[in-house]
Amino acid sequence: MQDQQLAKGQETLFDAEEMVLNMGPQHPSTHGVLRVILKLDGETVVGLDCDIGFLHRGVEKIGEHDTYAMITPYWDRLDYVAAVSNDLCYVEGVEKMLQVEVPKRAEYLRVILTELQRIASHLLWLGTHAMDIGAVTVLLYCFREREEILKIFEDFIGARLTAHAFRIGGLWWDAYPEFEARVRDFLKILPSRIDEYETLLNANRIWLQRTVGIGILPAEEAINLSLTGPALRGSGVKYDVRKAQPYSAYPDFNFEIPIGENGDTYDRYLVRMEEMKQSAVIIEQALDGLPEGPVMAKVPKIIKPPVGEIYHSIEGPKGELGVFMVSDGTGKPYRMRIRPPSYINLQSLKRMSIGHLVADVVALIGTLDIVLGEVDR
Amino acid sequence: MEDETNQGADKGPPVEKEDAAKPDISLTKPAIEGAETGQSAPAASEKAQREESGAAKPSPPAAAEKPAPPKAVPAAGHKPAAPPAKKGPVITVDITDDALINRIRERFGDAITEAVATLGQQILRVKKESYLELCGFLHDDEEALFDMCTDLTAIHWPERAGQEFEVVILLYSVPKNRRLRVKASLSDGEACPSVTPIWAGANWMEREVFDMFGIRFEGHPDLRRILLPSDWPGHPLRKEYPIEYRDNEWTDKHLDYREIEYDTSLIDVKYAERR
Repeated sequence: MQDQQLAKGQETLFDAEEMVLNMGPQHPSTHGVLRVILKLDGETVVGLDCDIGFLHRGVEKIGEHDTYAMITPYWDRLDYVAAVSNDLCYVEGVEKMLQVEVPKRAEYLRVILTELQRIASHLLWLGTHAMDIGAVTVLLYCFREREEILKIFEDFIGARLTAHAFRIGGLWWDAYPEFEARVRDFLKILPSRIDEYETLLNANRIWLQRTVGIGILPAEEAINLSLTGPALRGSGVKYDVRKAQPYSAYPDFNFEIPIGENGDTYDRYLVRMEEMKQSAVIIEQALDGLPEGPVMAKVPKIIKPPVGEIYHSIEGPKGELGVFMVSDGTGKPYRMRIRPPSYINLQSLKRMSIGHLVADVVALIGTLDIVLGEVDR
Repeated sequence: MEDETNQGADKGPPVEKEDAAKPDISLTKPAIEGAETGQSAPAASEKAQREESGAAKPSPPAAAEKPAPPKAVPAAGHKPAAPPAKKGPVITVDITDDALINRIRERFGDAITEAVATLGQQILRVKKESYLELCGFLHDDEEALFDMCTDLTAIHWPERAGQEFEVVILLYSVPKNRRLRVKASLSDGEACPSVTPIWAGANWMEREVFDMFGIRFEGHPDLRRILLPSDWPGHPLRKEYPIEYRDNEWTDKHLDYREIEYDTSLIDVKYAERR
């Protein structure tokens, strides 16, 4: 390339105004194996392309060859920092097809676990996002609280990370005796801990300089780019699947949907912080109203949904996580499409980065909150 | 498989089977109600639907769940019960009374070949020629306002001659809080018009469909493979692509890795052998 240019008598390497910088797939701030190819003019980004697929396992193909019950663990490994939320999406999709009524107690426990998972996922996001921008302390604080949640999961489900929490029809086990007390203990400490993070960041001059006005995305454009989750709400669009198209036991609870105003990185940060508080509010209500009863509906041993197709989506920590399933009446799905929020949100990185500096790309990858296990599937 | 630990799932299989046939038919009625109320309130009607048929719900597969009953009589009864169990309850009904669907039908006439609702979720099937026009209409029309393309994917039906592929686009309207699914059938090798000019978010979704199914999108600004390497042979989500296939030629070339002999017969696994 350079030789050709020299032969034509054009710019040499050192005179070139634009250069290409390869970031990743092993770059620590890309949160996994994301490769970003940047075209730079000085330090300003003028072009960007994402190279993904390093972690592609073909989960959708595997789904066509496994029975409905066998597929659930694969979902744990999509967004591996929010395994419980993934399970909820798939399991509810199958239940919708089978038209199974899940017992109320199971639905409440599902909401509690899913909201705990949302807090855990947001804590991991906050820690890594802040560390990328330079505030290493926050990471250590966040992992302290996340650890508490993972311990609750470990005792309930048996796994910390890839928690296979739900089964088609309900839950495998009922809550253990101390579960409620432990969750309540955690909720007691959480608000003060969130205050700690906010003390560290909200008025921090470096944090503000690195986030305010970075990656502004107007509401209309965000919708057009199919952005969902906190990233969309940061732009001021009040779209949350929990409220818009309620599922599970969410209609029973009162909670707010925080939205931002400017659609910049700082607003998306504020939205996620408020979401953690709202999750705590939901868990509190679910614990107060936790009904007694069975946790498993009567589900056939061999699951064969009727011929048809279904789309079911939930509000995952990263955005709208959906499953589109086509059944041909056999024990395996004819087609299983995953709507991955990380993958679809990631394509707006190009739109957000252009015009900013290289260092801001790091902040923008962080603010989108992507997990490569879900991007590549 | 070993998931469901329902108490009492094993009592009186022949009795349960008789229950099975009835709710299946009655199911179609509440489903129509779900379609009429539109997308905004399917949850309520679905709930009602579930409650109505609640007790006998796991009935269709009840016949199938008895693979090894010791007695000869239930086993004999299992055979005739099998066909209805395979068909299952009908969950898809035609949409007859919906303001928006009627409006679209008026505007597009014969181009809309099918308008159905599955469990209250509305699906429109459109001829490929009118696909792009319909998408533009759905985006701009003030009664539709489908401003978000939630997802775009495809389904491979190798048995349907001339209509092997189905492009499915899942739309959502933020102001109206409503979902709609639009489908267009394509033959193998036929290109589909790209909706990227309407919804910028469809860009990567169409690239993924191209990557996984080999469907080309006309008018797409940047149609490249996205998840697989650019020189990967084949398109994995086609039904003729075997699940345990590993391309050793590609691996040899890129990783200098030799272990298994290259066997082209693997790629000829037929779709029919899947079941």
